[in-house]
Amino acid sequence: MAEFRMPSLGADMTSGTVVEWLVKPGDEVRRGQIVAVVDTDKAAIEVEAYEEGVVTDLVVPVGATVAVGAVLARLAPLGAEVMAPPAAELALPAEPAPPAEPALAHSDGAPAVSSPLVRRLAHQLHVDLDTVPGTGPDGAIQRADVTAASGGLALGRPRVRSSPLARRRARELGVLLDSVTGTGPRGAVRVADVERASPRAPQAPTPIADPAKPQQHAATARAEATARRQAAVGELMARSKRDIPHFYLGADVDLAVASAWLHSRNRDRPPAQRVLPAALFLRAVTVAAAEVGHLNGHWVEGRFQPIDGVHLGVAVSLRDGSLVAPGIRDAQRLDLDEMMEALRDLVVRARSGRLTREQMSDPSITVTNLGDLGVDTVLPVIYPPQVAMVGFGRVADRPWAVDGMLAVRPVVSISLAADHRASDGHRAARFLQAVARRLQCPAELDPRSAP
Amino acid sequence: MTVILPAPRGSLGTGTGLLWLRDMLRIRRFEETCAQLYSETKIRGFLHLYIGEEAVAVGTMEALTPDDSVVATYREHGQALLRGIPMKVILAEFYGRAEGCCRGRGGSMHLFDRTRRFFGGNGIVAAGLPVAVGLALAERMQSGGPGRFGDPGHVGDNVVACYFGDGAVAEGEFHESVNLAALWRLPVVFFCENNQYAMGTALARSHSQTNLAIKAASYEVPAWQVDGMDVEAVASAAARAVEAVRNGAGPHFLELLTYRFRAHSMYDPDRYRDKGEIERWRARDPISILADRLREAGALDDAGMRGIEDDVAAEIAAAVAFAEAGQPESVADLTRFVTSEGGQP
Repeated sequence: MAEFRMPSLGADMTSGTVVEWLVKPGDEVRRGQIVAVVDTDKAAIEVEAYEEGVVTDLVVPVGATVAVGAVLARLAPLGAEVMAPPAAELALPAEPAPPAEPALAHSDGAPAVSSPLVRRLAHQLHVDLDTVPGTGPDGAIQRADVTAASGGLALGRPRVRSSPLARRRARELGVLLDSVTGTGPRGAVRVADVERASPRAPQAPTPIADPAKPQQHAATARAEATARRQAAVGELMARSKRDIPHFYLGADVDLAVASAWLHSRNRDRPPAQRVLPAALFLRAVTVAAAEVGHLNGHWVEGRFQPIDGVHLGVAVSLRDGSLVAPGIRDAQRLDLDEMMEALRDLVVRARSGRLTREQMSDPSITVTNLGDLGVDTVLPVIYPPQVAMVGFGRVADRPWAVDGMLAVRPVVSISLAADHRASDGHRAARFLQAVARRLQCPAELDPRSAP
Repeated sequence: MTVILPAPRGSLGTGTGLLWLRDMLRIRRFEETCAQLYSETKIRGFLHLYIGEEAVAVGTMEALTPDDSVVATYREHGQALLRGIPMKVILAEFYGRAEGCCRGRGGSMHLFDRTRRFFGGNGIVAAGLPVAVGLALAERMQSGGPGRFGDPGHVGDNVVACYFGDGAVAEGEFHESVNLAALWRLPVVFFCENNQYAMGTALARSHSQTNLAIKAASYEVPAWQVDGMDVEAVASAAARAVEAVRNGAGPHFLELLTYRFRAHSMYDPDRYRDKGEIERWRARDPISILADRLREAGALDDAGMRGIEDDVAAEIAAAVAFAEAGQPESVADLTRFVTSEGGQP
């Protein structure tokens, strides 16, 4: 009997997670056929069979991480009789067997009994072993218990139908799949269901493509993911325009001082450590948002709720043309270099679909910068439940009156869209003034450079 | 200017055709085995497979003699096999065994055999081009020519065959090398293996001019596109180009339009192209194209095909056994070849 093992796809790959099985027991497999999708540290990769045969059993369930070389499935010679389990049983038991009487290992205060392998699996699946009922001897926690607790393929308890991505998101958000109402086919839990169920889930859609159907062309899957994202953003924006009484203010700000200051600050640094004007803008907005009330927070249940700390959303365009607005949490704690670093990290992660949970949690105010695209002025649409969004246009040399003379100065147009339920023109004007003032004294935005 | 040649028909000697088929199958099956061995952690390091592009190596190498030189890329297993490095020695190299052609120190990307004038795979895109031009200059100088501007070109020089991909054409080294070779009329033939993707970047995403022959032609180098999935077309074009170079006509450039059926490397999720595109190219599998023609011509039947497959399988099995039995290099030899030993490489 042949064995299909976890392949090594690179010298640095030591283990992989089965994301999807593309075959089931009873299927004939040909040499070179793609039989599973495996997630590694680098990417989800389709893996092929090197031998032909009939699948007799899938040893490793979806969601499990195993070492390179571990048996994933067994194959009998072609033509062999394989008892394929009835499809219903394979998919999920309609009438699940009653769960084994689980012993809560920690109930009497004794430490949970678990092997290193189990602890490793629990760590990988972000499962707290103290909360896992053990079904092994003396209440020992077994791998299956951990998998079950993680929302993966439950053994000995009813399995919740779910897409691979939904399971991953559930792990990321700490949501138990059992507690989620699925809206997919036959009640399957989808990503959107998980995110709805999570208090920490962002309102804005996340830039992760749903790999639920990897057998489709990658391009089709991407197009679908893009369409889903666009639909979600569209819905959110429609709600924003419907519910939020937007008002807009704008100011043109002379950046001569800030540009010169940045230039001299960057001059002696290697490119990786240089700070872009965008980071300076974020710093100025952060300071102003902390200083002027009623713009940094959420509108929920008919009233404005201010938020301590500035969770600064940054609109990032993705390669497929869609937008996301992940956040820099507690931006008020970052100095200028840290802000630059956070911005770089945010953009790279957003574009590669690897945003952290923290970055995806709801920002308290968002900035959009379309200057690179040649836009002079942005009139933003607020992301609910936020109440303000700041737009930056391009920094352009413009004729500018200075001390009664005409000069050429680098100027940026800053705009603010605000929710009139939460603030008013007076407060909004103070906010814009604060941003402009900060940009006139850039050194103050950089505590480290202070004398 | 660019000339696009139709595939010549009726030139196929069936004896030659069967040899080509055998060579393409040796490369194909050998690499399929390598992919499996890599998955099983027998082979480490990088592994870039040539599967789908076999007609390019087989058709072009047909025009070369043992005195000619070859410079290849990190996707060079096919050229190394055709150059005569035994399969078992190549596989031992992948295994990191002292029995490998570079004592196991090079691995998949750095096959090298000076005795066969195979001057290496190269891990760096376009880095083989200056090496090839340097070798061509050496050929010229050793045959008594000056190797400089105004050199009329010499009849009878050995030829240097330089392989590189479409990605290399976007590198400065390509332009400098082709320019210098043309300026000095050096005996080098540039074989551009255009498999449409520079790793994951489609040609049209990085080249304003996607007809790469036109770029080479701008350096006054005769250049044209060839159907790289048709080994006959490749062999015919390569014969013409190499003959011209050998006769002192200066460098030539062939853009061989081909496609790799597998991902760029083992660790490539291959998400930048859709499967329909791969299937369309697979319909033009160079091995099937040739096998079908041979069957039409009555030179190949099922038994003949089985015979070739069996021979290839036996060669691969022997190579695997050889590599498995090989030994890693002794630690005592760790510092050998850091400097050359008595003029030996």
